Amino acid sequence: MRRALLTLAMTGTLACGPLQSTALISDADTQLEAASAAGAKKLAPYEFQSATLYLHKAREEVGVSQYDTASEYAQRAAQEAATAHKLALARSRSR
Amino acid sequence: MTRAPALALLLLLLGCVNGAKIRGDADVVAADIDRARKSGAQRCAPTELATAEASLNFARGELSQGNGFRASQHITEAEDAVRRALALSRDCAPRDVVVAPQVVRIEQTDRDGDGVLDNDDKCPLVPGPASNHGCPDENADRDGDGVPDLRDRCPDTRGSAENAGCPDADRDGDGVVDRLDRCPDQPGPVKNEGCPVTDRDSDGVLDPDDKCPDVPGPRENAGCPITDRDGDGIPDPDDKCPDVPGPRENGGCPKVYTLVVVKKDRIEIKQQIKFKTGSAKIVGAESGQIIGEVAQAMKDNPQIKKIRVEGHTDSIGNDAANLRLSQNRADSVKSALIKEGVDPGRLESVGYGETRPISSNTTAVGRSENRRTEFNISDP
Repeated sequence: MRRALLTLAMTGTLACGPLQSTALISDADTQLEAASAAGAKKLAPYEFQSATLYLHKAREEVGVSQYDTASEYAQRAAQEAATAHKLALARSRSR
Repeated sequence: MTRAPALALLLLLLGCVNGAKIRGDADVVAADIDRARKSGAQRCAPTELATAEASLNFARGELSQGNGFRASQHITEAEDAVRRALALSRDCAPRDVVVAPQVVRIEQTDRDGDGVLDNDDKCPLVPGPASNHGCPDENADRDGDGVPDLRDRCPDTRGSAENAGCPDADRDGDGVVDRLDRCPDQPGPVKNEGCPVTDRDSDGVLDPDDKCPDVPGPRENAGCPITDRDGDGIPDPDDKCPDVPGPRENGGCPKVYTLVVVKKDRIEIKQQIKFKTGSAKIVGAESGQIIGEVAQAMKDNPQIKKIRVEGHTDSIGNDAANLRLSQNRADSVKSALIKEGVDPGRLESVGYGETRPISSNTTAVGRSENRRTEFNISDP
C-alpha cells in the first residue's frame, strides 16, 4: 500500500513537467494565433518571428523531454506573441 | 580495457574543444547581432534579426545542456540570419538625420510647403493651415474676392467668380472688363457697355442722350433742332402759336387786327381800299386805316420778306386802260405803305387789270368784288 502511494506521488511529480509545458505551449499558441489575426506578421514582424521560433523550439524541447526548457521557451513565446499582438493593433490603428 | 578509458578521454577532449569553438562562434554572432541592431536591423530586417537572436539563444541553451551538435546547428542558423540582417540593414539607418549641436532633428518633407510636415498633413500635396490638419480650409478666401481658395485659380489676386477668381483683363483700360466690353479695344463708359460714346451730328450732345443723333440740335432741346414751323422767327418752343406767324412781342401769336388778317400766303383785308373813280388816288379814312394796319402787320411779321401789292379792275372799259389803272393804283398803295414806314425792298406792285376776276362781271355785286387790291406774300 505504501509503495503504491509512493509510486503514485512520484508519477504525479514526474507528470507535472509535461503538463505544465504543454499548457504553456498551448497558451503561447493561442497568443500567437491572436497576433497573427491582428496582422502581426506584417505589423510587428520582429516580435512575431521571435514568438514563432520560441514556440517551435519549445515544442522541440518537449520532444526531447526537456520540459523545463520547453516551458521557459513557451513562456517567452507567449510573451513575444502578446507584444506582437499589441503592437499590431496599435500600428493598424495609426495607419 | 586500457583502450576504453582512452577513447572516452579522447571524446571528452573533442567535446571540450568543440564546445569552446561554438562558444567563440556564439560570441562572434552576438557581436554581429549587436552591429545589426545598431544598423537598424530591427526595422529593416526584423525577421532575420529575431531569427539570429533566437538561434543564438537556442545554441547557448543547447550548449548548457551539453548538446554540441544541436548548438552548432543553431549557431549556423544564427550566423546565416545575422548575415542577412546585416546585409539588409546596410542602408537602413535614417538617411536625413541632421545632427545639430544640441538636438537631433529628423528632417521631414513638406511637399506642399504649407508648414505642416507630410507626416501630419492630411493633404500633403495641397497647402492648408495646421488648424485644418494641413488641408485647405473650404471657406478660406485669401484675396477676399468671394471665390473660396479651393475654387480660386488666382487665390492671391482678386477676381470675379465668372473668371474663376482671376482678375478680368481690360485691354482698353476703360474700367469695363473685356468679358463685358462690347468694344474691348476702345475705351468707353460702363453705361455704353464699354464702347466709346459718339456724337454723330457733332452738336455736343452725345448720341445716347441725343433724341436726334443725326440732326444737330441744342442740349436744351435734347439734341434736336429747334423748329419754327410758322416761320415767324420765334422758335416753336418759345412760340405760343407755333403754327401761326406772330410778332415776338405777342408771344409768336398773330396780333389781332381789326381790318386785316395775316394769313400764310397773304395779308387779307376785310374791306377794300377805295380810290377816286378812274384815278389812283386813295380816298376815305377807312382806306388809310386799312393801309396803316397792313403796314403794321408787315412790321409785326418780319418773316414776310416781300408783299406783292396787286391791283385788279372789273371788265368795264378798255382793257389797256384798266391795266394801266390797276398798276397805278397798286403803285399808289405801295407808296402809301412806304409812307407808313414799310421797307420799300419788301414791296412790289403789280397791276393785273381785268385779267384775274374773282367774281362775275355781269352783275354789279360781282364787278364790285373784282375791283380790289390784294396783298399777297411773294417771298415768305
